[in-house]
Order: sequence, then C-alpha cells, then structure tokens
Amino acid sequence: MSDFALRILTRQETVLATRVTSVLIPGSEGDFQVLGNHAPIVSALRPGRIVAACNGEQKDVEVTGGFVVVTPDHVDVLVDLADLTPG
Amino acid sequence: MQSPREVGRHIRTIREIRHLTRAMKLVAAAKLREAQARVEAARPFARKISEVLLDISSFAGYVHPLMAGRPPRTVGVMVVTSDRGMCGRYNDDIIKAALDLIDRTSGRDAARVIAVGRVGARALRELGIPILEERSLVSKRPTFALARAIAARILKAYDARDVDHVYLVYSRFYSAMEQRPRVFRLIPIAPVGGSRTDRLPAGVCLFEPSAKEVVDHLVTRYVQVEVYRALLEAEAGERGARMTAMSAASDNASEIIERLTLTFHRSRQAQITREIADIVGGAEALAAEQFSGNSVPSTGAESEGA
Repeated sequence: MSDFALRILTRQETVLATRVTSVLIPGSEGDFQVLGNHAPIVSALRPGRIVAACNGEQKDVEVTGGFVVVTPDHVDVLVDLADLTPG
Repeated sequence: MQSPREVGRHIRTIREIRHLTRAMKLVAAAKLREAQARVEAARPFARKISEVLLDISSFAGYVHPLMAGRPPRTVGVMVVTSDRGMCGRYNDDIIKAALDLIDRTSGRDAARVIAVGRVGARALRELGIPILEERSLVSKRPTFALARAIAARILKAYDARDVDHVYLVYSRFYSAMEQRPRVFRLIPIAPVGGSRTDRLPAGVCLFEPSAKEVVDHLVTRYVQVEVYRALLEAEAGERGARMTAMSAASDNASEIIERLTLTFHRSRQAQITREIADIVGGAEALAAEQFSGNSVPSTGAESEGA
C-alpha cells in the first residue's frame, strides 16, 4: 500500500505531521477513508475523530469543524481545534 | 568644572538607567523567542489556506465576492502598532507606511482605519484620519479570538460598504535587528502560493458539500488567519525592535559612563592639584616669612624650633 503525507493543522500549531497508509475522515457528508493516490477532494468536516493508520500503528485525533484537502500524495486537515489522543 | 562628587552622582544615575535598559532588553529577548515560535507554528495553516484558495479559484466555477473585488471608493487599513514606546522607530515606520498607502490609494478622507495598538491610533487620529475601530493588546500576546473579532469587524464593514479594499499594515519580522513594515492587500483577496507538488488539479477535483460552501468557508478562514498572522508577526517585530532599542540604549549608557569617568578623574586630579598648589603656596609663604625676618610677628618657640 502506498503511503502519503498527512498533516493536521490548527491556526496555532501543527498537531500531527506524519506519513500514513490510510486515514479515516469525518466529512460533512459522511465518513470516508483515504488511501494513497486518492482522487482530489476538498471537503468540509464535521466534529469527530480522524483515524490515521500506518504499518498497523494507529493514531486518533479528535477534531472540531474545518475542512480537508486531499491530493494524490498529501492530505491536509485544517481545523479549529485538534486533540491527539494519546496511546 | 563639576566637582568630583557631582560627577560621581551623575555616573551612578546612568548606571541605574543601564540596569533598567539591560533588564528590558533581556525581557524583550525572551518574549521575542516565544513570539517567533508562535509565528513559525502558525505558518503552515496560513500557507495551506492561501494555496488551496489559489488552486480552487481557478476552477471552482464560483467567484467569491471578496475575491472578485469592487472599485475602491474607500480603503480600510488595519494598522498594527505597539501600545507603548521604548522601541525605537518601530511605530514611526509603520505609521509612515500606512500614511504612504492611504495617500497613494484613497486619500485621507476616504480611508477607514482599524487601529491595533494605542500609539498608531493616537497618531492617525491626530492627523484627522477616520478611525473605524480601535483595539489594544494591552501588551499581552495576540490571541486568535482577537483576530477573529477584527476579521468580523472588517467583513461587517465590507458588507456595509464602509470599505471596498482592505489592507493590513504591520511590521514584518526578519530578524531582531531588522523589521520592516509590510503592506498586504487583504481584500480583494489575491492568495499567493509558491511552486509545490501538492497542487489541486483542475477538472477532477470534488467538493463536499459544494464548491460554493467550501470557498465561502475558506474565504472566512483566510481573512481570520491573515489578520492573526499580521498580529503575530507584529508582536515578534515589536519585541525585536524593543530589544534592539534597549540594546542601543545600554551601549549609549556605557559610553556616557566611560566619558563621565574620565571627567571624574580629571576633576578629581584638578582638585588634588589645586590643593597641593594651596599647600605649596602656603608653605612657600611661610618659608619666605622666616627668611625675611619678622615682617609677621611669630612666637619665640617657633623661631627657636626652626
């Protein structure tokens, strides 16, 4: 599975910047999963949990509203608040 | 010439001033580092918003009113200065840049100022330029809440047609020694983005829920984020300017102390020389007396002793 760059950004800081193979996004029109080489999409987000996975490791980030920009090699999540769940 | 005592007092005063300016320099340096870190941390978000807007504007098939723009009858200018002085030319440079901009665009009567920082607000009001809104940081760090409030004020003024174009004038931070005023056109929006690999391709891009909603959302964020960035940059610039100013003040104090110390020694030497001259003069007068006989009555004991 091809990996891609995931960044979760708030106005104040970069909450997460890592390479992942899959990420689950709480889109405003429903959750969707992004894998490598995903079609470009710009979507609004509803508050929820982003689940990023890489080599069996998983990272959860709670986010408030914002939006996500998906290009084949990058996923950028721009939100008001993001909280990286430890563990 | 001042007496050594007076010069000494003067030196002590200058030393105390140097203590103060040195302390202020250290405080500014510490705050500068924090402010710089905040500027850096806020950059990726601002850059991304700008890039996405730039990409989308070319193919979304929807042009937001703030991007389309309208002829500038009135020009809104957000001017970010400090609340206090003691930071060299920092405020003067910004006020000058703002005035240049106003004179170049709408003229002073058709300008509407949103002043952040007391120094700028006072200076522009004295020049008779209409102030739309005045905010003060009260020397605290800028918050996003403040940026959002200012952004809301700008958008409200735009909707009410109080302003047609909006500029941000603030100090761009390059280094502690160098801050230059930056004039940035906020409205109409013209996002900037460098060359990069994650460009959104035209044609195949999807928007959820719709292009219009995405663009509207982005535009609001963009305005907030640019205002926020201006506040952060200005804060770093102000700290840098204050640090440089206080550093220069400390150097000047050292120079004055050196000069005064020289004066002190000269005046002390002069005093000693004068005293020696008095003593020698006195002694010579006494000696002359003895050789010239009893021109001045003297006691018998003294003559016998000599």
